[in-house]
Amino acid sequence: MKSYRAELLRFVNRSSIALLLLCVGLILFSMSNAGHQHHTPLWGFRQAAILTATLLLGRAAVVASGDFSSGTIRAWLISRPSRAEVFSGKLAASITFAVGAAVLAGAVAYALSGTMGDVPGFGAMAEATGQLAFAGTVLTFFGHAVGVLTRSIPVALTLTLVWILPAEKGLQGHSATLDKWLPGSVLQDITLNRLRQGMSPTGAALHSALPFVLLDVLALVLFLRRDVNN
Amino acid sequence: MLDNVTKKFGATTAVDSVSWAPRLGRVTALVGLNGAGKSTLMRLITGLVRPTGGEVAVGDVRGGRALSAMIEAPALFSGLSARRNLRIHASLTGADRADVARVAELASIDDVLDRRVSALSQGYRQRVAIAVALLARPRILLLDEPTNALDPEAIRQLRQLVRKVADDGSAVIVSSHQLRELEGTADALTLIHEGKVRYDGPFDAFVGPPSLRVRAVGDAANRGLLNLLESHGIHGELDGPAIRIRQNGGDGDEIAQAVFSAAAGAGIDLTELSHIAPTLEEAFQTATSAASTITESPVTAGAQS
Repeated sequence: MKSYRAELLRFVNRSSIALLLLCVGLILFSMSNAGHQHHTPLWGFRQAAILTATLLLGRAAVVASGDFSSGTIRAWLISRPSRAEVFSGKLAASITFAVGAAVLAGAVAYALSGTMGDVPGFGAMAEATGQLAFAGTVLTFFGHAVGVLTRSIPVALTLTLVWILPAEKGLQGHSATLDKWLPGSVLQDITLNRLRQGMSPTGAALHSALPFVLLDVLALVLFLRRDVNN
Repeated sequence: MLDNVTKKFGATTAVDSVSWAPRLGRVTALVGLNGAGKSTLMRLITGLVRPTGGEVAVGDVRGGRALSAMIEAPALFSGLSARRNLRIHASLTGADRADVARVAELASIDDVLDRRVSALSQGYRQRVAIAVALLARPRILLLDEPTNALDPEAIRQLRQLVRKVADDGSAVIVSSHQLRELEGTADALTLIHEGKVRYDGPFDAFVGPPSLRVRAVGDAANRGLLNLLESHGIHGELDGPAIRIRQNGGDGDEIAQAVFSAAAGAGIDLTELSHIAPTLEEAFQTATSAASTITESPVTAGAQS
């Protein structure tokens, strides 16, 4: 719990505020352009959701790997006797940030949607916001795991973004079974509220989250064993 | 604390079968050449690295307010203010705002608390890092090269600070290449060489007693003087172009007077008769150059006094 609180305190800075503004700005930009394409602001919100979640992915990867490259992880490891607590506290704080960013984006989007077209129903907006929060959370798992495993900001950023952007696209369409297990692609379906045929919301959530949660379990196991020489 | 601990990195043995414990209430200087194993020893104590063999018994002293360390360069959030850094670490260790104010005053960083760490000089960053290490009121405080980038006044303050922490009952372990900085601060010393503890005991005993340096005119006269002094019960040894007489607890002035009288009585002219204070550097060089031939480390138990 102390690890989680300390990590949250660390997030209160200008970089975090800038990222929150970027997330909100991206969503609003997409909503304001939806009308030109004869769509509703909610459609615009959904179009920008996966990109917003990708920003949160990059942030999680940078925060987790940056702790090692800057040496700030040492303070956590020396102060807290349990490495598992350190790992989970940092992950939980990053997830809190991702959920907070999604809720803020949803609230601002809902409040300003009237200036951009039809005001969506509260339920529909809450659903889209929840789906964004879910995508942000799942990708935070991914970014955190890769950051802890690689311990290098450039490597972590490259791996996460290459996987989410070109790699999954390259793997798509070869096998229906494989397509179901491409988490980024399934997450995009979720945020667009357009699940592929035969996939339930629960199944989509499982298929998108499970690979990254397992990757975090692997990262935790190695984190418990590896030396910290940074 | 460390029981027969070994740490290997691939084929390299960084720490080799070390048993060691910090001394509560003392400042212990941890010295050794580059690559001797000092940093690895500190990382083992803090749990940053895992031992390959042996046991690090940290259960009763790690965590919470028991152990604190500043290892290598200050690891701070450079985009945040010094105050925010302190608050984050306070949150991590359970310290409160009063503790933040206390360590800020101790480390003399009150005037830069609201400045971003990235805007601070290296010396002030070092001070902030030391303040962070003191937040937890640790029972064991490890400081790795704490005087790096500090000005003379800051070094003086750090010495006082370290002394105070030890006087309050904590064990302070200071690793430094600046051997002179350790003199006058440390009261115990641990020498690590090639991964083994070669000395672990009182600082003064490592450095050795003060000595007299006596020089007569010519090598033959020096040898004659040496024999003469032996006959007067004063034991010395040739040390380059002079004779060195270790005081070994005797009064330096009395020995000097006896040397002068003996030489004058024998008609030997002296060109030098001076007191030589021992230095840590000398003792360190002697110990590390001899250490490679030592097979059994002269370790004294690290008493938890």
